[in-house]
Amino acid sequence: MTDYPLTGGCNCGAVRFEVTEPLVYAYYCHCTRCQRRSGSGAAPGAIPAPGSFKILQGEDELQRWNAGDGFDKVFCSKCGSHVFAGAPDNPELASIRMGAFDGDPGIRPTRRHFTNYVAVWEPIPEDDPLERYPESLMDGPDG
Amino acid sequence: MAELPLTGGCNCGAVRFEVTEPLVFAAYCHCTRCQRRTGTGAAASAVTAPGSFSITSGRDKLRVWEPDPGGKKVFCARCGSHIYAENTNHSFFAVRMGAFDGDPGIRPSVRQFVAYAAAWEPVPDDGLKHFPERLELPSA
Repeated sequence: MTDYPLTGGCNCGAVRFEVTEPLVYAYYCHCTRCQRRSGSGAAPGAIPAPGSFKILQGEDELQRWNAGDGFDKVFCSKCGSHVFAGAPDNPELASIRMGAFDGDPGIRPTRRHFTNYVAVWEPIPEDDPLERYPESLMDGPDG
Repeated sequence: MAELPLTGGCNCGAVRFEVTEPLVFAAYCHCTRCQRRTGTGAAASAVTAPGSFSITSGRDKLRVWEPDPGGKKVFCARCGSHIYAENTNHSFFAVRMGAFDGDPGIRPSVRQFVAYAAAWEPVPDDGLKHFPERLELPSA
């Protein structure tokens, strides 16, 4: 069983957060923007229930970057840890970086977004059971 | 073969780099520090040949986080994109594989710190050599 609240934060300890309800779903994003941001092949995010995600400390250290579309990418300005993505116009809409949790967040990714852009050096295994979306979630699943 | 120089950079375009020789070695790191830094389950980095890696623009936008102990983690202060790490005795640079523009021409061959792998992302049975703790770099 997962204990609530879930907690997490950045590497240097400046930023801390909590999640007071079970996460709703989780996914991998394979878009090139997530690849550059993280430096990894794909980024896993977990969606909190409305009103359940709260920054406990370090709000002043959080830096936001927006590409001109999509969510703000929010990271610790001191250590660079990626904490979450948030809708610029709606604080209720967020996606928490799974690597930012202290322990097991109690949820697993069930689908992959933007699989058209999978890194050539990290192909998705053929037997991978996760549902695939070639573009964004809004465009629907593969096939 | 990947064409040289390899190029790459951050999301906002402020930071650009090039690598003028083939990459030497690439690895996944599953340590918790890499998990928090990237927000992902593991970090993929490629070690550059001595003298082959250089920042071609945006050096003033780079921010360094230097944990104790540990090498420097270098990212774009504006957009947060992770670019590279420098080891503690400054003998090599490890470029984040996601930062390259195209195919960097190398594939990760080992996974280190698999003892700390994320509960939500089991280490794949992919034939790569696994090290429970830090890997021992092959001697040059």
